[in-house]
This record gives sequence, structure tokens and C-alpha cells, in this order.
Amino acid sequence: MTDSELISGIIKRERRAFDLFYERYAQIIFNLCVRILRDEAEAQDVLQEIFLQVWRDAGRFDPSRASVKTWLFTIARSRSLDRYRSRKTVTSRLEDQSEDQFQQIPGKEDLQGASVMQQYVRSALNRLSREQRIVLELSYYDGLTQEEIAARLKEPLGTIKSRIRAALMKLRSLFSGDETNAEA
Amino acid sequence: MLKHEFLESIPLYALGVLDTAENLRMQEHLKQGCDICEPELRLFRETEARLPYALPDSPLPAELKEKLWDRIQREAPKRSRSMNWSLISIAAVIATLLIGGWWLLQTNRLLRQSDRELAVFRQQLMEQEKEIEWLRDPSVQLALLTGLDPAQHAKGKMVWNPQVSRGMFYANSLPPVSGDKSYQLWVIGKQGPVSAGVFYTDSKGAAVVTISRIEGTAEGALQFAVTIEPHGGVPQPTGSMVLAGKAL
Repeated sequence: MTDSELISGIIKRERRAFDLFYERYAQIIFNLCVRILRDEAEAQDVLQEIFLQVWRDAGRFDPSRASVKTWLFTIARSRSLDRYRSRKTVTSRLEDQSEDQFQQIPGKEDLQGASVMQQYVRSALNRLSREQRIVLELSYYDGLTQEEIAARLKEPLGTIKSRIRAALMKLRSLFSGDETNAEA
Repeated sequence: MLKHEFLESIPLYALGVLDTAENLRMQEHLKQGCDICEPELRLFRETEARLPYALPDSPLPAELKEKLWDRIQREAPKRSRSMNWSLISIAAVIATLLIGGWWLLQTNRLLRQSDRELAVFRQQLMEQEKEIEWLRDPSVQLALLTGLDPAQHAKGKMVWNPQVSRGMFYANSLPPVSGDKSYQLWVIGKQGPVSAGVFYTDSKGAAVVTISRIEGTAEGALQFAVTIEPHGGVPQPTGSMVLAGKAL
């Protein structure tokens, strides 16, 4: 069943559709929650809230604006960051990002045992420079703004903006199979 | 700001890293609809939506799904309550519609009744207008009648249209007559007096007589008179003349 078919089933309050949807995405969402919150118990709670929201708001999903996956991950990231921000000041958030955390995305050597999708995305990320990966992590997983990232890395704002833009452009090219632009 | 400048900020906007002012500017720009930025934004959002796949798996408790389902089931009574509220809302809407419908029917009924009454008034007005149409004729004459013995204080006025032999007569201060008598109005033309009807006075000796039809011809009428006649009137005057006057 496609994601859209599962969402249709959830709208019709079908338990089976919800189970399948949960099985398809719970692990990846949980990984994201744990990464953002750095707390497994809290991640479990937020995970439940995310799927509850899916159950309640499936009817509001607009396929013309985004894919199911993008819609779901946007909800997950937003809820996790809200929870994280509610218990952390900006200062403590900045302090949270130790150098070690930038190594959390598994490298090439960790591809064994990962799903095809995980291998695919990790391979793409491994083709970014370390600096590009760091700004992506700080923005996507830690929810820092461009100014906060500049302050954290002690680099000019313009440099951070260009780096984020370049990182996303490269990823986009890699995911679309445009190797020429990816190497640019 | 040109569109390509917005385009440069799309990846940053997709990630949510723009500052508040830039973010608002971008939202405003997108709200207006941009065929260039919107597809770009969608592509960047799809790109960033792959990032969670790069993360290592954290141990997801197997019982979490059942816990979640329990939470969803606990939400069900809330839905029922909200359903009840929905039913109450629907009932309120139906009641409002019924009351509104009843009010509309009543208003419609009153309007129909008003229309009928208006039609009657209009008809009456037309009839009244028709009734007094003869007064607008330039040939209308006025005659002042003066009192004669035994009614020296009596006065009378006649408005007369000789073209259609119609008129209005006003009298006042006429003395009362006995029960076997009545006043009779006469229109006197070239062929003599013609009865314009019998009338009775009120307690002040006043009377108004509308002359819409007279028996016989009143052609060339120039004089008007009132006599006291036997009850019900007579074809030709026989009694005392109490009012008389000529057309002015």
C-alpha cells in the first residue's frame, strides 16, 4: 500500500492502515526524536504525540503541497524541536552541541546492516564536506537559526548561509541523480 | 527584491534557519504565489525530509505501538463528547432553521395579508378618486343657500357639476322636523324642480348630501332649494321652502 492509501485508511479510522503506517515510519521518527531530544523516554512520549496527531489530522493532509513523508517528518521535527526548546534556553542549546555529536551520522564504515534507504542517504551525506554536514546538523536536528550557527561556529553569517545553501543544493542534486551538479 | 533573491533564500527557509524578518518577508512573498519559488521550496523540503534516514537506529520499544493505540482509544470518548457537542450544534442549527422558517412563514402570511389590504385600499382610493373626479371639472358651480322662514339661521352650500348632474350639498343650522316630515333637496332647471333626494339632519341641524344621480333632467340648473316634505319625499315640492340659492 502506498503512503497515500494508508492516510486514506487512517482517515476512515482503519486500525490496519494505522498499524502499517506506524510500522513503516515509527523507527525513523523515533530516531529523529532521540537525536533532537537526546532523551529516549521523552522521545517515546513525543513519538506518541506525533502519531496521535497523524490519527487526528490525517484529513488535513494536502498532497498538492508535500508528500506524506515530508508532511510526517515536518510534524515530527517540529514537535521534537518544540519540546526540546521548551526545556532549554538558547545558551544551553548552544552548549549542548559538543564536537562529538557532529559524528552521529554513521560514516561509510557503518553502512552494513542499514536499510537501503539509510545506506543511500548516508552515502549522499558522506559526499558533503564536514563543514557542510555540521551546518546541516545544527540547523535540521538542533533547530538553530543561521545567526545561532554563526555564533556557535564563530564564523561570519554570510559564510554560514552559503554553506547551508551549498549543502542542501548538493544533497538535492545527489538525490535527483545529478552527479554533475553534486560535484560542483 | 527580485525573485532570484528570494530563490537564494529558499533552502534556508525550507530548513527554518532564516531570521524572523527574513522569514516574514519570504512568507509574504510565497503568500502572493510564486511559480518559481514554490516548486523550489517543495524540492528542498523533500530533500531535507531524507535527512532522518541518515540517523542510527535507537531501540524502539515494541510495546510502544499498543500504548499508542490505547492513547488513541482514550481519545475516542473525547471524540464522542465532541460528537455530542456536534449533535447539540446540529440540533441548535435545526431549531434555528425551524424558528427561522416559522418566522418566515408568519412574515410571509402577514405580507400577503398586507398586500390584500393594500389592494383593497388601492381599490377604495381609486373609487374615491373616481367619485370626486367630477369636482375637477372647470364647469363646477358653487351656490350659497340662505335660510327662509321658519329656518332663517340655516345656511347651505351646493357644489354642482352641470355636465354630469352631480353635486355635494352641505347644510347647517336647520331646525329639526317632526317624525312624519323630512327635508328634500331640489335642483331647479329649465324644466322645473327635480328631486335630488331626501335627507335628515343631525342634532346640530347639519347634513351632507351626495348627489350622484337625480331622477329626470336637471339641464340648465341654476337654483337649488330645500323644502320640508312628507316623510320619504314627494315627486314635486309641496311644503315650505327653508333654503334657497342660485349658482354663482
